[in-house]
Amino acid sequence: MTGRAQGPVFLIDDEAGVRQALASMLSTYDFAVEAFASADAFLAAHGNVDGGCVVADVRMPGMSGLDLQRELARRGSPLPVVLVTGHGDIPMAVAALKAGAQDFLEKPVDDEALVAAIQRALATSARRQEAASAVAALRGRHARLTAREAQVMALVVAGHSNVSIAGQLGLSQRTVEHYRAQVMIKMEAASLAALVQAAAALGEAG
Amino acid sequence: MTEMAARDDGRALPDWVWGAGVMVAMILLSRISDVASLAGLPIKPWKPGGGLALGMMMVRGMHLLPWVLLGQAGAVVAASLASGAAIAWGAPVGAAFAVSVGFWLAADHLRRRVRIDMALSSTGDVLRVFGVVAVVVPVVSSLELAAFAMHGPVTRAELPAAFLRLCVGHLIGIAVLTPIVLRLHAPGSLRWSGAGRAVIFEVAGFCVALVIVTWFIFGLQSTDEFKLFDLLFLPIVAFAVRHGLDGALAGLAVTQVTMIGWLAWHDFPAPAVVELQTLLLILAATCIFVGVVVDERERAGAALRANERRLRDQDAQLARITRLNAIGEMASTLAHELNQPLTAVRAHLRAAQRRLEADPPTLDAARTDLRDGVVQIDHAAGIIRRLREFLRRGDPRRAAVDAAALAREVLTLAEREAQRGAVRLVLHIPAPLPPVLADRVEIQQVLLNLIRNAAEASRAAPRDRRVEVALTTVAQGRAVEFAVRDDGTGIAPEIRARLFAAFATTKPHGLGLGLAISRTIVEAHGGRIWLESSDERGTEFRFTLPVAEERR
Repeated sequence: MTGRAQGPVFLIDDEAGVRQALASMLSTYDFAVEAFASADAFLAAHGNVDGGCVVADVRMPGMSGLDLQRELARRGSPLPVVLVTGHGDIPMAVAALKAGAQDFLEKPVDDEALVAAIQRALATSARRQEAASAVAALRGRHARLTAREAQVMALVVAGHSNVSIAGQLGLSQRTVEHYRAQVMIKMEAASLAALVQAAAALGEAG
Repeated sequence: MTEMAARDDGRALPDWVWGAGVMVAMILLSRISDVASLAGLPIKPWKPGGGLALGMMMVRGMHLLPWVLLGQAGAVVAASLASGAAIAWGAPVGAAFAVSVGFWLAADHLRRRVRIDMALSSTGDVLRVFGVVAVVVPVVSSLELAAFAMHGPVTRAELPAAFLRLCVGHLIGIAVLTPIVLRLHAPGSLRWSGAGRAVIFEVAGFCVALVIVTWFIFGLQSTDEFKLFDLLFLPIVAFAVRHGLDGALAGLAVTQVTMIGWLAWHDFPAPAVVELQTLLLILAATCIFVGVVVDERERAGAALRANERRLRDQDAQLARITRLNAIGEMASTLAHELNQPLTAVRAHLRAAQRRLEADPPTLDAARTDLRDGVVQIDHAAGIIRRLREFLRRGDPRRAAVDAAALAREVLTLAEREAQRGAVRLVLHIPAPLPPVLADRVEIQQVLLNLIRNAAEASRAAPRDRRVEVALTTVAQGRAVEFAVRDDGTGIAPEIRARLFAAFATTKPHGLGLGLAISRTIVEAHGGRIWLESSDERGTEFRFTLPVAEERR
């Protein structure tokens, strides 16, 4: 027990007895557990939350655990999903993992296995969150560039020399040097390599 | 079996043997049928040779023609030699040509154009044969007669009577002999091949009755008015009704031979013989049709019964599959239903354990977890109770059941499956048994299950594969013991200990529920089931059922 609440863990199971039991058990591991009786109820409450992880039963009336997994992926949610099932078979597990499920556990679940799976899921979630916030910061910095600075940055990252950039933009080499320095400051890039990385992260995130 | 083999050997005989046989038979038939002939010529009211030739050419092929020609000519020559009548050589040759070629054409037409079924299995086939014959016979008879007239022995005044005599002679010969030849030749379709003793006696009885009736009809009368002829219809139609076409033909042959024999013996006037043969022709046509119709009905009935049997088999199969599916489905549902409370109980217990181990322990929360866990255990117990109630489905339907009859029914059910593995099922019931108190269907299931297992085990045995089922009274007449023995290779010792536990199985696709369910059923009946012995020479299971108390 770390004494510090981790999570949140969104627990989704249609059977009240199982839901309460798992919630109680997980709370002894200091997870902040929020329980839902259906995938729809969870989506209505936290459809756009970007931290934590989901523990869902596969077989539920309405949206199944697999359906929820696909729906979250469709929404671009960073929430990892741990699926739990009463009677799983290999094809179902393969389908779930292919669809991006974090883990696939069989009932009655061993609490340590479930906790380990949740911790892996939370780590994944944290990594995804971190990556997401880094991109957001870069985007904020990039927004501060003037139009000319952005132009110069694009050409620098593409590997053009100052002379070449000056020629292409019809500027003096000195002026280009000035813009380039501004870019390095505003993008908080210590080196050309760091600037190229930032541009790549921006490009990947669209 | 031996009959079939003999017939097959007959088929392998070379054609010339058949041909020579036909030729000799034609001459001999002509000699023995030499009754009421005209001018010592084969112009007579029974000419079996044509019928034989037609039948043989239909079944053996058209190349018998030369032999038929020789036989026909030989018959004419033999007839004239016997009577001492002097005839020119042209008469026998012409007559032989007319008859042989005429019937040859008829046979060819029936074989290749009309393509009748040679076994004469439908009224249509019989009608077509008779139709062709009705056209061919008058033509053949006229040509034959012309040959005799041209070469002298028949006068102009005798022509109409001679023509009638020839026609009737050929027709009756064909009606009696041709179908017999066809039926004898049809492989395996003869009704009495492999018949039991009772049937053979019945057929013999019919033949004797026909001989007696024929002698009675002719023996009682000295005139040529055969008013009692119609009496023949009774036995011969009865023969046809009981034994189909084969019965009709046998009856006709017996009647014809007896009648001709009597007429020849007593030297009846020729016109009377012609009249009698005409009557017999009507009789022949009638009973042949009766016979064919009876055959058709029987075949249709047999086909219907076979169809019903197949449907019933399929139903049984379906019921078995449905039952297996139901068991599978139930097991799967049960697994899921029990898994949920188990999951909850485990989680609650682990939570409680962790809360108590924590520093400081959170007692209230642990108490709540334990309480909720107990609720979940009760929930699981409820599921099991509901399942038991479902399986019990109210009061068991127990009744006094005849154990021997029950065992026989089960053996019948298991027979087919056992035969597939070449396993013999043997039932021993050394002494009469009292009725047992049982749910018939459930006990059948138990016994069937044991027999199936045993048959499966025996199938692996290289030796004499058989399953013995023995029923005896035990416990001073208070119980009936069922024993099922196989001669398989025995049950492995490590399996023996948990033989009756659910999901213990040695079969690659078995669920391992058979013996478990059997034990539940037998014990619910107040009986016992156990493994009597098992070694490399075989395995024996036994179970007992209490005898039904007699109501006083």
